[in-house]
Amino acid sequence: MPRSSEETTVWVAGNIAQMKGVAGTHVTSPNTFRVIRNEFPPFEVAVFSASEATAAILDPLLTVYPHVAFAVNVPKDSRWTKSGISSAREHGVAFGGIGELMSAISHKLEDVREYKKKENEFVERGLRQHDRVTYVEQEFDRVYQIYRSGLKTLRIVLLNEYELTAEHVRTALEKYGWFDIVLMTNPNGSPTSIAEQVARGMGIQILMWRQFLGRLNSE
Amino acid sequence: MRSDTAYTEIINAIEDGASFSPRADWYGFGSYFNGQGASSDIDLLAVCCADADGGLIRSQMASICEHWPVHLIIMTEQEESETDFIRSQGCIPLGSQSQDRAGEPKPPAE
Repeated sequence: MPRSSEETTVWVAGNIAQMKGVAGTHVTSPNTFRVIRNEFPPFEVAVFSASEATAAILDPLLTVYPHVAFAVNVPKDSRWTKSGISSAREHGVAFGGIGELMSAISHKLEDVREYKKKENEFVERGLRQHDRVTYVEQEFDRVYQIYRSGLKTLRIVLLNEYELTAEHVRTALEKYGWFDIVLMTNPNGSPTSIAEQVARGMGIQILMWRQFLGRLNSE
Repeated sequence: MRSDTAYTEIINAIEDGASFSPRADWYGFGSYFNGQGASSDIDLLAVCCADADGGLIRSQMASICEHWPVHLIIMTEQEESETDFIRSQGCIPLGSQSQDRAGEPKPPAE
């Protein structure tokens, strides 16, 4: 069904307008809207819908709209590539989905460009502080290669589901390619028994944060 | 419950897919369906019979998921039974199949 990008922008702006601390939103183009906050300076948001957020999408968008402070990719199951992440950082804009935009507003940042997704920030900090880890490379927003001293490199995917199903594991494999570990970043989350079976059958481990830190010390 | 462009497109996709996709029962949950103000996503649950059905059901919703912030959880009946997801999350039936089931006569109260 054909739909305009403005329709999506209006929908996102309408939801943001309902947030506490937001006085209103104004759609300024088919792909942008302005957020007026009660206590902090207003800022501009770019909205797009792509299954893969790449530099080929971000560069032209952020060049046409140079005042944007936050780039939102609407689909929940999209992936941000390394080039897309680099493009956003080079243009000095924060990025993510609608949830991340809401989180940036809720955190009452004077400058929302400083926002970084807490899930990634937490994992990256933990990895940097781990004795075995020598280098961490972010391949996608949810995928990291972890280089370790004297041990083989691990490829992990972060999944934040409350109930991790077998289909989540299969979809992650399809989307990101093979990985060693599913790191469950939702502290209250748990995998279903079928998800455990499917992952085990593929040689993939599903680990919570503390288990994962221990796993980094073994082959 | 919301009634906007996204909702209309989601219901159409569920009903259109019913004729060619594996059978699934569809539910909505979370802030979007509970009308709790701003929503960062639209939470959908599809409960299917077999693990192998998941890929086809996700394909059925691919276009919708590409344009709206749909958080789609697909689980088998066994997984739903294990997690008690429908009850614990207060899921609301969606689509004609669910409406049919919701409209079934209820047993008299004891």
